[in-house]
Amino acid sequence: MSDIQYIGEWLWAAYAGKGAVAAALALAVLGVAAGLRAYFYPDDRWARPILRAAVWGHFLSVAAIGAVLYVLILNHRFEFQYVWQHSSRALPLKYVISSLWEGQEGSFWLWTFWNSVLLLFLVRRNYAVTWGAAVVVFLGQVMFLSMLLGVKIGDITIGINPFLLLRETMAAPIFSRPDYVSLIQDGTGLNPLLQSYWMVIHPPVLFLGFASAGIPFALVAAMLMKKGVPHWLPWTQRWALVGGAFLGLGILLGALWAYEALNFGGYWAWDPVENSSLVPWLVLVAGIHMLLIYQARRAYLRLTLFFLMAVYWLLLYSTFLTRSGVLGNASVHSFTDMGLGGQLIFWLAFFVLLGTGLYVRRWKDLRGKDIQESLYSREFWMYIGALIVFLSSFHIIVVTSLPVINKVLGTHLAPPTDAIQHYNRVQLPFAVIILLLTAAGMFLEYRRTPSGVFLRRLGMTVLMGLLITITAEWAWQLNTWAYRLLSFAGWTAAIGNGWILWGYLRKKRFRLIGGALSHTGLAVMVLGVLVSSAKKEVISRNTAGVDFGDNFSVQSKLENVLIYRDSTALVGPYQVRFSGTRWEAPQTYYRVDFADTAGRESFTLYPSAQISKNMGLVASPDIQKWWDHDLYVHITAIPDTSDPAFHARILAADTLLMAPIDTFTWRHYQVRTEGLFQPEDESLSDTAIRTRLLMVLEDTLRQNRLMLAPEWHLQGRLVMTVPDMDSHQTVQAELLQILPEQQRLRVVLAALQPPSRPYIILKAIAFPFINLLWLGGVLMLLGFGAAAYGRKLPKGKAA
Amino acid sequence: MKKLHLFLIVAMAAAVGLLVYALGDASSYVSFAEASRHPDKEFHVVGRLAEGHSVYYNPSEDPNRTEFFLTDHEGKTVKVIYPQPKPADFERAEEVVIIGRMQGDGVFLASKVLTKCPSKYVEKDLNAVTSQSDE
Repeated sequence: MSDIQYIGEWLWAAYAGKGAVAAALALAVLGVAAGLRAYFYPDDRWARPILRAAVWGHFLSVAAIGAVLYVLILNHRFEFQYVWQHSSRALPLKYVISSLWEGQEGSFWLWTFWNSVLLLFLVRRNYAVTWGAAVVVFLGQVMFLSMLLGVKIGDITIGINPFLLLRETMAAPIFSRPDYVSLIQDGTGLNPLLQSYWMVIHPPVLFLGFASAGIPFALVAAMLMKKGVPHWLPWTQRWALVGGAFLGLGILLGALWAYEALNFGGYWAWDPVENSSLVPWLVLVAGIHMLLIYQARRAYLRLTLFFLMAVYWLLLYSTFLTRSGVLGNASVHSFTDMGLGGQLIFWLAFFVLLGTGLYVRRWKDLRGKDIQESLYSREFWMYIGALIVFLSSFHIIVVTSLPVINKVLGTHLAPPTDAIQHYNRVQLPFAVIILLLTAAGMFLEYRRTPSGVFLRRLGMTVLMGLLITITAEWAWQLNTWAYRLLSFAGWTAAIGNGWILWGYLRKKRFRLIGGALSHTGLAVMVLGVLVSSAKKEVISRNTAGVDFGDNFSVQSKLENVLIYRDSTALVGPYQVRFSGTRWEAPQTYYRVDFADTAGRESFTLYPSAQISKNMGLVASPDIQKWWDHDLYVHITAIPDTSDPAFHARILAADTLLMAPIDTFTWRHYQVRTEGLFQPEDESLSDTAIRTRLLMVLEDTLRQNRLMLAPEWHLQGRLVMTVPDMDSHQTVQAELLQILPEQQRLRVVLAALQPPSRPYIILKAIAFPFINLLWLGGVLMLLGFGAAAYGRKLPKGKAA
Repeated sequence: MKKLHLFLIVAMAAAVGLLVYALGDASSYVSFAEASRHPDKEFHVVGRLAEGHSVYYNPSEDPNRTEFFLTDHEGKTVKVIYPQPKPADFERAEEVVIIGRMQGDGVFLASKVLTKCPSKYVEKDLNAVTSQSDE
C-alpha cells in the first residue's frame, strides 16, 4: 500500500499534530528535570528560568495539539480517523466543538490541557514547593501524553494517536485508489446522545475539576520529597478548595445534563461513571476538613496527607474503571475499550507507589502533635465527620468496583438488583450523621468551647429543626422514619449553618463565610434530593394493561402510556394529546399538549426521540417547571419506521385522462380539477418549467374533502413528477403527462392503505421541590469559592 | 492519641462491615436452573434471544408488556416477561442481561433488561463510506 502516491491528504497536519505531541512530551520531561534541579538546588541560576520556559513551551505545544485537531475537524478532513469517527458535515458548529472530546484521545487531551494551564498558575508563585509540585504535575503530563503517543514498541502500542489516517487504522479496498480522499464524503458523526449543549459545557468543567483536584497530590508529594514538617499546607488548602469547587461543579452539571437531556428518568442513577467522579470529590472534601484541623491544631497530619493523595489515586482509578472496558455491562455509558487498560494500571501503580514511597520514607516527620481532644472542640467532631465522609466514599467505590473484583477473584458478582435502592439505603445514615455534625460543629470552637453557650445554641437549632421537620412532614408526607430522620438532619443543618452564615454576613466578615455557606447549601441540596426522590411520582400509570395477577410489585411498574397521533390519553391529572412532530436534526420532537382536567392550565412539551442505528432509542425529555415541582416527560418507545406497517401502500391505481378543468367520478370520490398553475414559491424554479394541478376530491362516503396538488417539472429534456397525497394518506395523485394538442392531462389516482397510526409511548414523572437540589448545589459551590477566596496565603519567597 | 486510635479502629471495623454488607447485597450472574432453585431471590441472567421465537410486543394491546424467550449459557430457554416497552432494536441485541426472578410457572419476570448491541457507541464500520463512494 505504501507504494501508492495518495492525492489530497493533509499529511502536513499529521506531522504537525504528532510533532506537537512529541514536543509537549519532551518539554514535560525537561520540566521534570528542571523542576527537580530547581527544587533541590535552589542556588542553581538556570533551573528556574528553564522550568518556566518548559511550562510555557509545554502549554503552547499542548494547545497546538488541540488546535491542529480543530483545524482538521473544521475542514472536514475525513482522511483522519479521529475526524471521521467523531464528526460529520451535517454537524452544527456548536457540536463540532464537542466532537473534539468525544473520543478517549480527545478527553485525555482535555485533561492534559487543563493541567498545562494550571502549571502556568502554579509556577507564577515564587514558593519553593511549586518547583517540586511542577515535577509531579509534569510526571502526570508524561502519563497523559503517552496515551496520545501511539508508538509501537515490539507488540505493544503505547497510547492512541489522534492524528492517524483512516488508512493506517483499517484496511478497505477504497485505499487502493490514490484519490481515495475525495471519495470519503462524510464522517460518521457525533454520537446522537452527545449532540447536546451539555456535551459542550460539561466535559471541560469536569476535566478542569479533575486537573485541579489533582494539584494537592502534587503539592503533598513535593513536600514529602524534602525532610521536615510540611509547611505549605495553607496553599495546598486553597488548591484543594478550587479543585473541590470545579469537580463539584462538573458533577452537578453532569447531574443536570442527565436530568434535562438524557433518559434515565432522573438526575442521579449511581452509575459507575457518576460514582467515579463523586468518590474522589468526597475524599477531597474529607481532606479539606482534615487540613482545617491540622492548621488549627497541628494534629492528624498523616491522615490529612493520605486523604489528599488518595484523591489523585482515585481520579486515576476512576479513569481506569471508565475507560478500560472493565465495567462491561455494569455501566450504561462507559467508553469503549481501546486497549489502554494495561497502561492505565501501570500509571496508577506508578503514582500510588510514588506517593506511598515518599509517605513511608517521611513517616517519622509526619508525626502530628498529640492533642487532648475535647468533646467540646470543633476538631474532634470534624475529624469524625471526615472519617464518615471517607467511609461513605469507600462504600460507593466498593460496589462500583464489583466488575474489578470479579476480574481479580474470578467471581460472578453482579451489582445489587436494585442498585439505586442499595446505595440510598447505605448512604442515608451517612448523610444524616454528616448533616448533624455540620450543624453542631459550626457552633464549636477549636480546642474548647464553653459548654453552656454551645449547648444552648445547639438546643435552639435542634428545636427549630424539629419544629420545621414536623411542619414539613405535614406538607411532604415522607411517611417513613428513615426519610423523616434525614429531613430532620437536613433542616437542622440548614438552620444551624444558616444562623452562623447570617452572623458572618451581618458583621461583614465575608472571608469566613465559606464553611457555613457550603454546609447550608449541602443541607438544602440533601433536602431537595430527599423530597424529589422520596416523593417522586410516576403519573403515567397505565391502568388498562394486562393483569399480572397478584404480583403487585410488577403491577406498580406499569409506568408507560401509549398515545396515538391526534388522540388523547389520561396521564395523572392531565388530558394529554399527541398532536404532531417536528424534525430538527438529528432529533424528532413530539408535540404533546397537556391540559389539566380541571381546566386550570394547559401547556405543550416537546420531548424528542429517534431510533439510531448504533444506539437504539435516543430520547430526551422535556420538563415543565413550576417553583415547587417539575413535570418530567420522556418518550420510552416509538414505532420502528423501517417496519412496512408504518408506510402507506398502494391498494389500487387508475390512470385517467382529464381536462385541466373537469369534473368526474372516481371510486367513491367526486373529483374536480381546477386547472394548471405556476407554483409561486421560487425555490426550485431555476431552469425548470413547473406546473401544478389543483384537484378537489369530495369523499362521498366519509363526507369530507381532500385537496391535492401534484406537480410536473420539465428541466431540459428531463421530466419529473412530484405526486401528492392527503394528510391521512388515503389518496395519492400523480400528474403523469401533459398532452397540449388534446388539451388533456394524464393523471394517476391511487387508493392507499393508510399506514398504522403513529404513536408515542411516554412516561411522565413529577419531581417535587427539585429546585431545592439545584439551589443547594449552587450555594455549596459558592461556599467552596468563598472559602478558597477567604484563605490567607503566606507571603512566601523562593526557597 | 488513644482516642484517635480508637476512632481509627472503629472506622476500620465499620469499613469491613460495609464491605461485607455490600458484597452480601450484591447479586450474581446465574443460569436459569440456578434462578429457579431460589424463586424468592432476584438474579442477573445473561443469554441470547432464543432462535425460532420472536419477540412479542403489541403496544396497542399493552404498552407495558414485552415477551421474549431467552437461552442462557447452559442452553436452557425460558419465557421472559418484561413489564416495560420493548427496547428499540431489541432483536439485534448480541447479548441480553435480564434482572429479576423466576416465577412458579417457569416464566421469568424481569424488572430490568440490558442489551449489548454489536456496535454500541463508537465502533463503526467503513462499509457505509465505501458503498457511497463506489458509485
